[in-house]
Amino acid sequence: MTFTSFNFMAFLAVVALLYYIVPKKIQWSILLLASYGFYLSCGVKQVAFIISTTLLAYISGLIMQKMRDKNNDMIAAKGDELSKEEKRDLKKKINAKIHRVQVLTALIALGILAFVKYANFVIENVNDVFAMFQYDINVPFVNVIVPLGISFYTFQSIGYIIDIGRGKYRAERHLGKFALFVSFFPSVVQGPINRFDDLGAQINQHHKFDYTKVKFGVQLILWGMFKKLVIADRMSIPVQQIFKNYGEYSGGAFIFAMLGYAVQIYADFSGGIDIARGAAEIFGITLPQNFERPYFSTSLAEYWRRWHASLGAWMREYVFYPVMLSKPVTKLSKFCRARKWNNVAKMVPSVITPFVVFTLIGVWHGAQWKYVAFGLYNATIVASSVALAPLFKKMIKFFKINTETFSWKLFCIFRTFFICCIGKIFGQSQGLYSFAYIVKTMFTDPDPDFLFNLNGELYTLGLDRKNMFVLLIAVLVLLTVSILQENGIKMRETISKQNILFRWILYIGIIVVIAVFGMYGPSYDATTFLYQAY
Amino acid sequence: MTRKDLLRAVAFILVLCSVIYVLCDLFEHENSLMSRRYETYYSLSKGTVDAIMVGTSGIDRYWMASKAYNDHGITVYPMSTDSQPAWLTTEILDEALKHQDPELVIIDFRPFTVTNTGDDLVQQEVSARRVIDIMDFLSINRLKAIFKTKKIMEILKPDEEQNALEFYFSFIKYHSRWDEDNFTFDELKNIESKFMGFFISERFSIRSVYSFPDSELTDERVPLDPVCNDAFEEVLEYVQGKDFEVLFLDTPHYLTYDESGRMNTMRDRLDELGIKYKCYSMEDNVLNITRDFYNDGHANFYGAQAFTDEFASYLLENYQLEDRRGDKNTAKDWDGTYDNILEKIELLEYVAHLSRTPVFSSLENPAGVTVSWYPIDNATGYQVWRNTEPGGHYTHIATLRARKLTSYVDETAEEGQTYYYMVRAYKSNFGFGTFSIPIKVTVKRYS
Repeated sequence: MTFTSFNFMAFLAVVALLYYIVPKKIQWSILLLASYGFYLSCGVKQVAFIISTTLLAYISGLIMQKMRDKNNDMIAAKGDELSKEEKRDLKKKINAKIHRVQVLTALIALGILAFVKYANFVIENVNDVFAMFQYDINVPFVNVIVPLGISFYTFQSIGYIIDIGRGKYRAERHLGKFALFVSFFPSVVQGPINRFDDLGAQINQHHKFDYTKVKFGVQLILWGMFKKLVIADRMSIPVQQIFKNYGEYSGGAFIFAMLGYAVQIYADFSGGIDIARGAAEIFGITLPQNFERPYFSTSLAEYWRRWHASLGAWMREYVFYPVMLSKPVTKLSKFCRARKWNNVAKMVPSVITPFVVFTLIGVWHGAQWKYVAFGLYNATIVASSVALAPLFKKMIKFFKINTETFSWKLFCIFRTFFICCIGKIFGQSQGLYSFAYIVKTMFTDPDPDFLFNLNGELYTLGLDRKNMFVLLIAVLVLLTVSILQENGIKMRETISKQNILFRWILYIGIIVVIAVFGMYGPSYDATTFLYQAY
Repeated sequence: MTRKDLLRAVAFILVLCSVIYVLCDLFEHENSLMSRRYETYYSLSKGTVDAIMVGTSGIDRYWMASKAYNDHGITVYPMSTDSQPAWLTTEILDEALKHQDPELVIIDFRPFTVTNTGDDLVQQEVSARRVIDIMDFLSINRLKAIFKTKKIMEILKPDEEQNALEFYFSFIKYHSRWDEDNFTFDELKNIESKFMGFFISERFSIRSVYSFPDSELTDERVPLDPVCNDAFEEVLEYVQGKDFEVLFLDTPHYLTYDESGRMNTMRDRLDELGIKYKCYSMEDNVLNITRDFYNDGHANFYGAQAFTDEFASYLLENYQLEDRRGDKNTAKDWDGTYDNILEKIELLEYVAHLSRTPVFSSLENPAGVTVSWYPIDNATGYQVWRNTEPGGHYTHIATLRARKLTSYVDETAEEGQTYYYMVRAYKSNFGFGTFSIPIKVTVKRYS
């Protein structure tokens, strides 16, 4: 059941109806049933994975909570008998124990994820190494299907485990509500990655039917559908045509495909998130914003705060800071300072950490070397922009560039967008070699004729003139809305203040546009429908 | 949520539904002739139809219900769709019998003689959709037809996923038609008069001399395609014990060896059960091969007129059908419908005449290219279309709103350029005739 299917819409309507009919106390159970129903509709076999991760996080959370409570009770009971140092020691001791549980369970959860996602990747490489040394050993591949949304719910669960370990909030005692936090169906497929103190708290609340929220939710879903069905799925046709047959195209085509893909992946991913957030909003639950118009970022680091923001935030909280403050890194930093390399010492954490984080993000995208390369590419740019920051400052001063201007900001936006676009080619190329070929050809054979000759090849990529026109208009609409939002205009609030006639025309307009121009349903072939002489 | 909100939401949903309804209508595949056949049937007063016919184009290209009423007084309505799939026969019968209570049901042999493989298979989904699309949207029979088709498609095309929703809301499939080159909203505007189900279109029904070999008649028995066989048996069971009489019919057309053998198989079975049938295709020609067909499977206007007289006489001889002329209820729906057809035929004949008439052009007028043609009686006017190549998309350049205007000066023609012109006649409330053959003109340079 995909987000853009009629089945999902019908499912959503039924769940929403039940949700607001039942007593507020058991609203969560409707969502839990719906989540598992949704999950089951995508395949039964995978349910075991999500249940085991849920139980693992739930139980370890309770254990850690109990350990901490017991210790606190003991301290409280003994009260004044203990000196401050003794109290601190006791706390330290229990924290070390909790830490062990925390690391162990997080590793198990991560292990399940790693196994289903990366086992075959590792085996393949091991086999390659054997082959390199001409050993005739072939480790057989593991036959597992990657369960739906495993990266998302695993990260969510690990975040929960670490937070409990850190004592950030109390563990959830209610298994049903916790299971709902892990499996909440709007976000289980493609995020956003939720925090327990956010989503968990909202699950515990009672939700009264709020007409405005439901209306806004539906609007967000429509906007997401527009991005996904009208833009992304249409754009993917020419883009895939070029990337899949890259040997036949010129640099001009690659430029088109690169820009097209940037639009496609943004429209697809953020469209999906909009549908997820809209669906949650119908239940009165607010999911975090995952995309904040990332292409308007002025630096790559900013881009990663605005693109798939919940993953970035997760990485910052559970990988970036821990790595930065970890013993090896601080030791290295101290080591440099001891030798009076003060500048280097300052930079060590902020240069090493990106490599760890972005390699992880790269691998998170998929078990292939090109994604590792993608991670390293991003890490190199982010790290070097930190390392070279003093140099850039000097250059800006030397050339007397006013960085407080719109033009400078625009330049930064274009620069960042270009870097992002190149990065996205990693994912679309078939391997590192084809990546190099595509990027090289863009510069050696830019072939402007491809892009600007309107009677040329542009219409031979699987979209005819009319479809290209629809695509162009749709992308312009997306761009306009993004610019308005970037300038602080809240679309839905602004629209809701307009006259009813305008609003209705707008709503009905977007529904008609999605219905007519959306890419869904079985394809229609005019020739088979011509009257046959029978 | 306040009361006002609720009212507004309901109003919005109503507006949305009506917009979607119009949209679905616009995008429905060009079933206009067939859907009008159903619409007309649905609109007939209860108890005014003596007999209904179900089947393929083998029915409606031959049977002029309005002529049979006009000349013989009987009301026999064709509920046929092109290439109607065999398995939908019972659903169509249910749908037809819901509205009328006929004394006789006439069933076409042709749906049962096809095979469900290869090209025929591709056509089956299309022809099933035709039936489903034009049935009353909320009818339970439509729902039954959808699930039956889904089931059969799952058997015939095991590797394709079938979704009932996509059949129910045909828009899901048809919405991408906006991209079609000649997609227009003409169908909505083109409201024709009632033709009582007769298939009338310039596309197929102009007089064309067509000859075909003698049918490959045989005495052998060829088994039916399994799907057709099941459907045939289902129909036989369906008609048992009903209070109407049943007649299987095959209209005159060319039969292959296999078709002829399958007809034999079916006739044996009908004999067994004592069900009547009439196979014109296996008798000496009741129609004139050189005059009455537009291809080897279908009669044209003249064939339909001749066949209607023949078959109406057969029905009057064999069944107790009353003369309904003079009955007020019947007259309301049926009177004048034959005139509608005759008028349309008249126009199409003139148009056919036009398409055989050369269009003249000359360059005498230095202001441009003069295109002229012969006048067409009864035409309301003419349209001139132009292109720079003989095929492809012609552009409409002028509409002349008078029968007597038979030439047009194209002042926009550029020197040295070659153009192709086509002309077509039109008549208000009837639509357009076919295009003339294109005529080529190369504009000289005046220098």
